[in-house]
Amino acid sequence: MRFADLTLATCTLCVMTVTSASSLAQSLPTQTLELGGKKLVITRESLAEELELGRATAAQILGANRLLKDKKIQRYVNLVGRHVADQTKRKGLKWSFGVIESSAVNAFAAPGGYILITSALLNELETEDELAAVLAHEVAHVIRKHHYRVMRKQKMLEFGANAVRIEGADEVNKLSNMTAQVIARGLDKKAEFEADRDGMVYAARAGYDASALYAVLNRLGSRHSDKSNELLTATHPSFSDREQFLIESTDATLETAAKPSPAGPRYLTTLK
Amino acid sequence: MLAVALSAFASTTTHAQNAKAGATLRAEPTASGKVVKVLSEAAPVNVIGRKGFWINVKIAGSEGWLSIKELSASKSGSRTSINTGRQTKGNIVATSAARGLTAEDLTSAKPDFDAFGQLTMLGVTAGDAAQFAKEGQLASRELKMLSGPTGSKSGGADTKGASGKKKKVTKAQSKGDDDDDEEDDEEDGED
Repeated sequence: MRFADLTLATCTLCVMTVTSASSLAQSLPTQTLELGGKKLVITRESLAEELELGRATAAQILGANRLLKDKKIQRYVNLVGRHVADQTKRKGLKWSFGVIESSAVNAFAAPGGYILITSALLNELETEDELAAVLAHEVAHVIRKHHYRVMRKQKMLEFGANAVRIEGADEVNKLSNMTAQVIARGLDKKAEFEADRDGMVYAARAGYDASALYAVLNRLGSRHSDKSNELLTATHPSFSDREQFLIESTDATLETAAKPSPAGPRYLTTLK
Repeated sequence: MLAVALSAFASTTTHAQNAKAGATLRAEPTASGKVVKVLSEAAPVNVIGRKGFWINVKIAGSEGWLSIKELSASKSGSRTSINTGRQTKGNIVATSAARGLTAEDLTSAKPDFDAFGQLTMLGVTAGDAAQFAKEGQLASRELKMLSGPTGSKSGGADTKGASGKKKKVTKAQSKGDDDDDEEDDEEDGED
């Protein structure tokens, strides 16, 4: 959290400086400025950079936990996830969803549309509605570019001048490790609440039970806290706060979408 | 993990918790359902089922449906559980040899770009997903994005945390970071 505040403050300064400089060269994709005697290249947000950081992030997570070798399950998770992603404004991304073999209960959104969910979290779910709800939360992070925006600032700070594109094996590994630091630190609470709320709507748009995320959070919160959800609980608001926020966010229209979908049972029949 | 799943299953149906004073117990799980009882004071309830954001409860001898909004926020040590029973018995995905994933596991890992390449091959087309949705009889709905908690009192300030805790990142600090709160704007064809 301290880190997030620091980088936000730093960026505010950058943005202000660039704004004044941009009248000189309006159409350039990058701006160079002097900050405390250091030259700093400020990049505008770009899909290329988002995908670069997404690749770095996903590769890092996959370095810790490998992909589950079950094509049927991987395809099923991709079909559910893609259907949810197609309810958003970023249908054009090449969304990829992957199940990783892990005893930790968690899921991750890498910038650019690379979503990973652990096998331990799959084991906590009971219906396709619940799987869709979890994936929708991650999709919502990508739509709002939550991780991308934190990571690009950190990239500017760590890689400094001319770091528009990171090349060379050492540098690429360093970039991946930087993304891991961001994931391990987590986002601010507001971003997590937003992802819960937006994700609930995306899943409901896709025809899934709007209350499924609430049910999943409630179930996970009823579990004993242990090693298996250590990273998840360290990087998110408490389950009960998230439940409370969700329930306060719903409106009458969404409540009518809070019914189990006909596809719900497909989860257990497909995964067994 | 297996033990956890089994014990959750065994503890079947009831969880002690409280309904707020003034909560309305209804005969059906809708806001227009016939009123069974209005609670004059907070009372412990037993949850016996759930439909969406409504729970089927027993309160002081009466049975009916209560909106989850009318449950008091859970306190530590006495969690509000609305899940009644669990169908899953044990693990459905084998993970006996799976590693953990702590912050240290994550930050000390070596990135695996080959595995990333495999991940990108897993994606499916929008057409496949649409066909899959059709097979599952999933009916897409037109729904607007929500702007924030719309509870009876708060108007919808989306920076307000669940339990009224003050936000660490203020609107001013995060300006420029989430200026596109409304998600519905058309964007990029990014393929």
